[in-house]
Amino acid sequence: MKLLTKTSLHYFWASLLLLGIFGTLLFVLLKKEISLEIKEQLELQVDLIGEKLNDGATISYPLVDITKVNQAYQSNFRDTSIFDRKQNVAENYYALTEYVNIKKQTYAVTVMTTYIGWNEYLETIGLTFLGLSLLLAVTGLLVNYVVSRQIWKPFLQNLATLKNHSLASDNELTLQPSDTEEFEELNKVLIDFASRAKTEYHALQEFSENSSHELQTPIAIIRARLESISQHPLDTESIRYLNDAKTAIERLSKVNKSLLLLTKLRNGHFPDVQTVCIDKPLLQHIEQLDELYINRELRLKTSIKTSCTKASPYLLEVLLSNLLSNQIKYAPKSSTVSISLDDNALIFTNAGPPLSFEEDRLFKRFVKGKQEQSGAGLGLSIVMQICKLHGWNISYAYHNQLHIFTIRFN
Amino acid sequence: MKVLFVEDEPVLADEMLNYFSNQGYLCESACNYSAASEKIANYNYDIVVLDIGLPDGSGMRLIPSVVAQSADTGILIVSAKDSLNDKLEGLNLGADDYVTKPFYVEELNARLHALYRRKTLKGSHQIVFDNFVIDPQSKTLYFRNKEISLTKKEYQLLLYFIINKERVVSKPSIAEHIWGDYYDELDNFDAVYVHLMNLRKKLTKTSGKDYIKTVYGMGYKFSA
Repeated sequence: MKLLTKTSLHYFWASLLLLGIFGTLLFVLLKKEISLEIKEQLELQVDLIGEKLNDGATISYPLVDITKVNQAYQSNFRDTSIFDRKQNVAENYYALTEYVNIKKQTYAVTVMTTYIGWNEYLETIGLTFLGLSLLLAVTGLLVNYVVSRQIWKPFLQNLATLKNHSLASDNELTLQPSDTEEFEELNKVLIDFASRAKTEYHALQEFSENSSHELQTPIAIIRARLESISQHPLDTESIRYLNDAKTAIERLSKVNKSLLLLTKLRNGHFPDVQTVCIDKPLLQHIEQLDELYINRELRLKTSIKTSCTKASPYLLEVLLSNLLSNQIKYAPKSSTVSISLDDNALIFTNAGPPLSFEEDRLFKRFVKGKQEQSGAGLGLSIVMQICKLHGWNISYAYHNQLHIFTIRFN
Repeated sequence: MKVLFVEDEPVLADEMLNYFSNQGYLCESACNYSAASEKIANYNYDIVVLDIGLPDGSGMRLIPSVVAQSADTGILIVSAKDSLNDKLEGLNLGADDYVTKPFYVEELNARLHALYRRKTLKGSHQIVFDNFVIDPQSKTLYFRNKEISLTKKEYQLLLYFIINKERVVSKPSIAEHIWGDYYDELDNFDAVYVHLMNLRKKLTKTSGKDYIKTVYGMGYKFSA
């Protein structure tokens, strides 16, 4: 529920409650006041009748009853009901009985007057107040909408800015100023937060880059020494140990290189961007990998048209080699793989069982299938970053038992 | 071939000096910027192998003085950074090639050789072993003046072996030389094997001598 709807709803319930309380109060007070007034009026009437009786006049008014009694009682003001012949209903009346002493005779004088339609009063007041509360709520809502639109505008714009803001980008976070204190404060906090997060992000970035750098030389030393050991005659057991060590250092070296590339990709500085035609390196790579297709008995179907775009040739090589080796690696033996390139898109297709993990983790780092031993699962993550850097859109689909990678150039 | 290795890491310097001295090169080494700049100023080298991350300055700044000393000196940058910026800057300053750590000494050797042929020998050079002759310019192999047809990869492989003769060369080293280090997660050792066997057959069939030995569990060794 939107904030505006929420406040409006609260406002409506509150006004309904308040108006309910005040309506009731108004009704009760009004009733008390009017009863008092009527009582006074009836008392006056009794007094006037007493005067007439004193003068010896015969009293016969409608709604006035005079009876001789033996004893005077406390005067009594009460509600009574009288059958209304004309309307055919019992109507409520006020009745006041007072005892007056005239010439040593006590009379009970009862006067009555109509009970003004309290039900109607109640109804009228209730309706008026309900109407009022509705009107207030609607007006409040309208005012809220109009004013809020204005007030919330910078907030909503900032929200959109924040949604698109990336900590990896060099751009500082800039937010729309607002004359609302809270929003201005929020802006300050957000800008501060973003700059701190950015500093930390860069520190982390620098850390991973530095650690990768620092690892390169020790890896180089280990590898060089292992190669030197390989030059000597060794027994079978030593050869086995040495090979395990070599395989491990090979893997470490590749993972480290990939991580180094990934950090550089996120920094986004590739000065060699120029117009390149993708078909040329693509065909070269396919030729390079020739025997791997033969070895795995893969049938290669290509449809490669000249397609030129702005790109870093270096990164393009990395992208193509990663996608091609991915394809060769995962295509089942003796299946068909296809590669197509035109001005809009580069598409790699190969058969294979569905992924053993969720599709949206495919381009994440260190994600690999269950059976997979070799590789660190960085290849597709690198591909993704390269596409991002060039503003290309890469997507994956599994359709008719085919894995399809599509890169759209825009 | 006279080579100066500028490398601050003693083990790597030792590895390079060791291997390249055995290959018959005249090797010298410098472990920091000042030692390197002194050597460059006083001697002529065919090739300078330059680590750019030196403790007392960037090796990058040594490039202009090498170029000033002799334009024919080949410069090969070695870097732990694998940075495109460094590579472009180095090549702009006058370096000829760029290798990233960790590298195989065989690969470095192949690069040095190519550089040496290009810069010092100006391409006019033939590589001879037994009755075989390789012409690097036309990339062809002759046996007693008769051309032996090789595929592109077989030729690359042969050259790699000859340059690194008497050295046990591992499969990953060969794979990286032929396919580059782009193909990160690809098992191409089978392909290495296929090319190797084809080359071996061709050489044996022509000359009757088996030049390439399999060293159990280690790789292959070329002996002329």
